[in-house]
Amino acid sequence: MRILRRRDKSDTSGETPPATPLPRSRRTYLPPVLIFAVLALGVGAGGYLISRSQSAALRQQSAKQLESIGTLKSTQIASWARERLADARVLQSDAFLAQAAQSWLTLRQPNVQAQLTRALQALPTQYGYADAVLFDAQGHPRLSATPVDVGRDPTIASTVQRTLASGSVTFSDLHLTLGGRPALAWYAPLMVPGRSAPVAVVGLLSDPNTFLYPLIRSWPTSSRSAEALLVRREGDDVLFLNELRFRAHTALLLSLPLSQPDLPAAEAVRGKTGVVEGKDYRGVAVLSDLEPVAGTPWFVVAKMDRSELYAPIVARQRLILVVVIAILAAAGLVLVLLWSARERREARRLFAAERALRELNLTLETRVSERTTQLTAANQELEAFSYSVSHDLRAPLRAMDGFSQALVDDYGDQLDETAHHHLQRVRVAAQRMGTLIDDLLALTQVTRYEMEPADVNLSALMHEVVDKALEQEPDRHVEVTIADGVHARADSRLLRIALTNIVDNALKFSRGRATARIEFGEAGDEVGGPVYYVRDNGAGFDLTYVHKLFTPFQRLHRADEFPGTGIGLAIVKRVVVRHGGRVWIEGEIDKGATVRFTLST
Amino acid sequence: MAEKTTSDKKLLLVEDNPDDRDLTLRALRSNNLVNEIVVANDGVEALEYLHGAGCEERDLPQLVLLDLKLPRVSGLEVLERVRKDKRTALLPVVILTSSIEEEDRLRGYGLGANSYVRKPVDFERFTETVRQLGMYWLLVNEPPPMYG
Repeated sequence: MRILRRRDKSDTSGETPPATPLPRSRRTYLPPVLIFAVLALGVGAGGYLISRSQSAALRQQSAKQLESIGTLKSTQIASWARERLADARVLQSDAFLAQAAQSWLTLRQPNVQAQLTRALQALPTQYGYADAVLFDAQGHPRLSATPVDVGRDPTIASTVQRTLASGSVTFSDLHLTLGGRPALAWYAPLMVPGRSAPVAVVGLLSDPNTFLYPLIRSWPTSSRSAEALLVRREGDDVLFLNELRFRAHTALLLSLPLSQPDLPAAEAVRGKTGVVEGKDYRGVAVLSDLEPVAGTPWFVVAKMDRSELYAPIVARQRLILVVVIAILAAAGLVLVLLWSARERREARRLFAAERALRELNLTLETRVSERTTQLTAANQELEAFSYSVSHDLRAPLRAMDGFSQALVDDYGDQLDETAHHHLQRVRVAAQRMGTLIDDLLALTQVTRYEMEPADVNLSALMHEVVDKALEQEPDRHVEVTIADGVHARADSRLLRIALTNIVDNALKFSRGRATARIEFGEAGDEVGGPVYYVRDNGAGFDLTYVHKLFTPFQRLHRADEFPGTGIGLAIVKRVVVRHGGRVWIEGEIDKGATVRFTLST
Repeated sequence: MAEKTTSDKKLLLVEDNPDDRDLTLRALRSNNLVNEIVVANDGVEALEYLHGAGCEERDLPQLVLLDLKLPRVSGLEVLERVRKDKRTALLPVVILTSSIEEEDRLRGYGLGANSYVRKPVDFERFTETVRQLGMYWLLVNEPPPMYG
């Protein structure tokens, strides 16, 4: 029956194969997405690294270029300033000029004045000065190369006085004249032997617009943002000395606080050299090279907008980005193609597997049906066998017994005692075999019986079984303990047979006790479910032979001690096994026995 | 339809096994319960006796002791045919057999057996059983009216 039922189940599951294709879960797309992510990460990282190293190289190249330009500018300006100082020193050491000046300033000879004027006029012509002026020992301008009147300029006057006082060449830094023009000058004291104070001063006045500013402004390459600045410190400010490229009227007019952050000019004045990043006077991000100009209070700032300087870097980065994206797109496309091919293969494989499974199911069904047929045949055979045993095997026994008795009845007086005894033994044997056959039939009946599991009140059933058993032996003194409310899902008829056999055994083996005790209850759990037990205080048994107890017709006691065929526990076991349970027995000689069983139906 | 009387203490024994047949006869005779015992060796003979040629002249037995396992026509088949026939529909039939198979008992009673008795192996108990059967069915029990 269980197999039949199981077959039903497999039938229903076999008839409804999964009609819908397997759902395309997210998991299906996870591997390619992962592969793509790893790829993207790798290519992206590679692109980033290449871009970074290239950017660094480009940046370094730009910095080098800027630095060389800055250095060149500062060197050029420094050498120009040094030359101008050297011009002044040459004049200072010109003894003829000094004597001529002294002579003319004292005596005013016209021919000497002409000589002096020629000498002064030679200086702008030959060295590019704006003017050359001769001052007397009081600091008044007396002669000049050009007819410009410089007498009222306070800067010139004060510097001439300083030159007269110091007796050495004095530099007058860039400044604005009264006319608002930028100017710078060198003053050379003229000395004659025998006099410690200068007899006169020659001022070499320079217009920065003629050489210095163009020198600064010139840039070796064409650039839309490149610019060089000349700055110097003025108190807490940085003063821009030349005219700026991007702002008009700044020469000697624009000054910015030293504290302005990131201002390269301020950093240069504070003593920093080399290439720095920062924001220039416009607030534009620039890369600058800062160089001090030797022999002057000036600093050159050679700078370029970072946007221009880094344009190739950005272009390169864009190119790399495009290449990376192109590679990833191509890789993604290849991946998609590969994966969809794989998916198709997988789907085909799955389909084949499913078909194989369906075929297997069909074979399985056939096999189950074959088995069922075989089992049914076996059951039918057992039926037929039992039927035959039931009908045919007992008749000869009855004949043996009957005719033995007939012999005694009819010819008893002709037989001696031994003959009577032998005939009696024939009858006992025949009757015993009759009992054995009946027991065997009882066992097969338990096997063949169709189970109908239901909720069974084991406590109540036990009471009934014990009461019925005690009816057979009204004179026995038996103490019965049955736990209340023990329930199980089982076939009540089979269970009644099992409990009857257990109780019969318990009563049989406790026959020697003045008070027999039978106890039923539930104790603990096994794998199969709750464990039920029936305990007695009977003769018990030798545990060595416990394995034999559940085999049909195996007995551990002699027939003259306790009668029986040895079928009881075999029947109990058959009943328990049919319920999917387990039965075992514990005991000791003279200490009683405990039958325990589980029922998992 | 004239009432057909059952012959006083007449019994039909349907039994194929000669041992069982002799033992049954022995048991019946030892109790002096019957006047006439008719023996049918199988189902065909039994039916022939009850329904066959010349049955009108014969009185019906007061009781049929019917074995189940018989060659040719089985005991249950005999019972079925006996019950289907108007003449023997009410005839007391006791199944006397070796088997206590559930199936046999169900079908026996289902087909209208009046009693189901198992033959014990122990001859003393067998004799006692047969004696009780005879006592009850031939002496105590009032037979139904029979119509030919």
